[in-house]
Amino acid sequence: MKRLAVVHNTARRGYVFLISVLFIGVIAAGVAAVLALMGTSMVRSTITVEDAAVAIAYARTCEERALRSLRADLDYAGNQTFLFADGICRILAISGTGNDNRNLCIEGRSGDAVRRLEIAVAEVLPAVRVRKWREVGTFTVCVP
Amino acid sequence: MNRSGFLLFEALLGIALLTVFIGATTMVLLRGQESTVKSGDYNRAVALTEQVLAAVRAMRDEDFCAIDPGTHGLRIGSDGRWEFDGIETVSMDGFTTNVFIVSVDSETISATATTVWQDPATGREKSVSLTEELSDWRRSLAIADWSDFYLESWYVDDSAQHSGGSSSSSAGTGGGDYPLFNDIAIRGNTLFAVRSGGKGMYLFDITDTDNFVRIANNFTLNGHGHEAARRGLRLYVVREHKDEEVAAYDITDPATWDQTTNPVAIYDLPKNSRARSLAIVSDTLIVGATQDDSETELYAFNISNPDAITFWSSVHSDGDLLDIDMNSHSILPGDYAYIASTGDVSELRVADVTVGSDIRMPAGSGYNLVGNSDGYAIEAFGTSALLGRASGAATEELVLFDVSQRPQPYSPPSPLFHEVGDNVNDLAVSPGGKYAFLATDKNEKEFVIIDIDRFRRGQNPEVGSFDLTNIDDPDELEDVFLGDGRTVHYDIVRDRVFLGTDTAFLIFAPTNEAPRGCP
Repeated sequence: MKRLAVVHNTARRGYVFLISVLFIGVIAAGVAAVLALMGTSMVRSTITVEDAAVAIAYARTCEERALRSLRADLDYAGNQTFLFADGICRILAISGTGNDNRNLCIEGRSGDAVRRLEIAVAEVLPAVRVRKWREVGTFTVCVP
Repeated sequence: MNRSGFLLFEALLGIALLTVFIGATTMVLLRGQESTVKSGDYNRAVALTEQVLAAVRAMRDEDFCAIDPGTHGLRIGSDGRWEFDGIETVSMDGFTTNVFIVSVDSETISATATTVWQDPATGREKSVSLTEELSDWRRSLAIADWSDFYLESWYVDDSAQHSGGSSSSSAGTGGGDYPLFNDIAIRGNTLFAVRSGGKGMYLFDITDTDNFVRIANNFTLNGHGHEAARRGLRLYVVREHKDEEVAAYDITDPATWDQTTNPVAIYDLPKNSRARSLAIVSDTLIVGATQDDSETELYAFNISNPDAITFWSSVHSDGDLLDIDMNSHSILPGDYAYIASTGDVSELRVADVTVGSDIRMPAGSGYNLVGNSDGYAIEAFGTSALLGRASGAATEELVLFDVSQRPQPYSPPSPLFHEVGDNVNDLAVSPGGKYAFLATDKNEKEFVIIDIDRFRRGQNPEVGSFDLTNIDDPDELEDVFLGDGRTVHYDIVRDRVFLGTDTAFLIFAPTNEAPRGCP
């Protein structure tokens, strides 16, 4: 009887060890899954960061072209789209008329990233005088 | 029953499973860490690259001309400003950054910023590049001192060789065979001079302003031309025509125009030949007409489609609407049409044309000047409006209004007045409001230059004038009948004034041209 009890206790410890290992394994798998997802998220956010940087570079390029075109011709109406290797930029219709109080809205896109600029120009000539420059999520002074 | 072997089996199984779990977790942990490090490096590279472009923008803001083409590193100088330094910059954590500058044209550069680093895990080289265009839009287009100017070049119509005769005011067509230039529009190197009678419009190539030539000599407008305005590749003209008073022409290649060239769009105002003036704001064409008891005088058209002129709305106004200029207001946002009118109670009218389908000109929206001298010409700029009037007893022909507080001028402050001596048929204002250029009927002062700052200070604003009737130099214009100043246009790009008279087209230039562009 005593021997049977010893064998029984020993077998139980083995089961306990095995089940403990299984529990540890499940926990470890969970941790591993989280780490894997975090790694994937980091990669995605890196792509987004780069796309956002490219989008703002395109938006700024369009901004330069729009201001230059407006300086050369006060009748310049905007409404242009430019294609690049990794995206586009768009100059929306420029509001206002003549030399004073013109509003420019510019949008740059790359991948899923979109960056938008609103520029309020107080005077175009003889020197461009910008009243307000800001990056926005949605245009408020222009009709997209 | 003997179960000791079973315990060993379980132990071995457990150890094996534990090893697998720990190994897998460790691998994932290490890979995740590797991804995190790689992402961190990538984000850092993007940030450094963006910083380089920001630095070049800052340098451009300081002095566009100081940005040399080539490959450069960057650093912050002792004065706290960004400057080029060598051909690359290496950060303490091993990121190498440079910018490659290429000149696109005299006013534009392309800047490509690149950051390179080594992947610690694989040892491979990685890079990030961003490209931006920068231009010299911040540079002020300097306007020369126009108190000292000269006649640079001219075109005299053959009819002027028959000296003598008289001109008429801009309100009439008069003048026999004289071209009687009425308005000017420019696109690129082509100047469109609208005229009464004859072919209705002359075209000039002004690539070289001291030797400009007439082009498209066979083109005809098929009616007296009154005014012209450009939008994109369309030239809109109001002319005297029974059925096609408002016409739009494609100006892609005007040098090829001939007698078969027709407008791409037309509109016929109610009744005949009433259109007199026009202006454009965004997609709206504003046309002013002569007064009529039953028809409206101010019209708005939708020109968003460049091949169509679509009626939008119209309003009544007193008097003939002889000239229109547009201005946007900063305090009360909107687009406003400033109109020179022959109406006795409102020589200056102001219409709200912000909504093309609902233009408005409430009764009394304008200004009633002393006397009944008609308003002939108007320019609205910034916080001011300048009106040119017909000559009259006890009236000054040039009036400067303050519209800083609201679009419609009101008193106080009272307008400022200047006696020109005869009709002011047309006027032009330099961008920024430094100078006004007048085309007048005043004998010996058919072209007058006004300093607006002096005008505002209450000083005599005339800083220059030109006599079209007694030209000794050049000899070619001696004894040639040029007539009166009828239309004037200032081009800031060239810093030139274009004057149309009864018989001639003249280009004036400042004696000492202001420097522009990089030295």
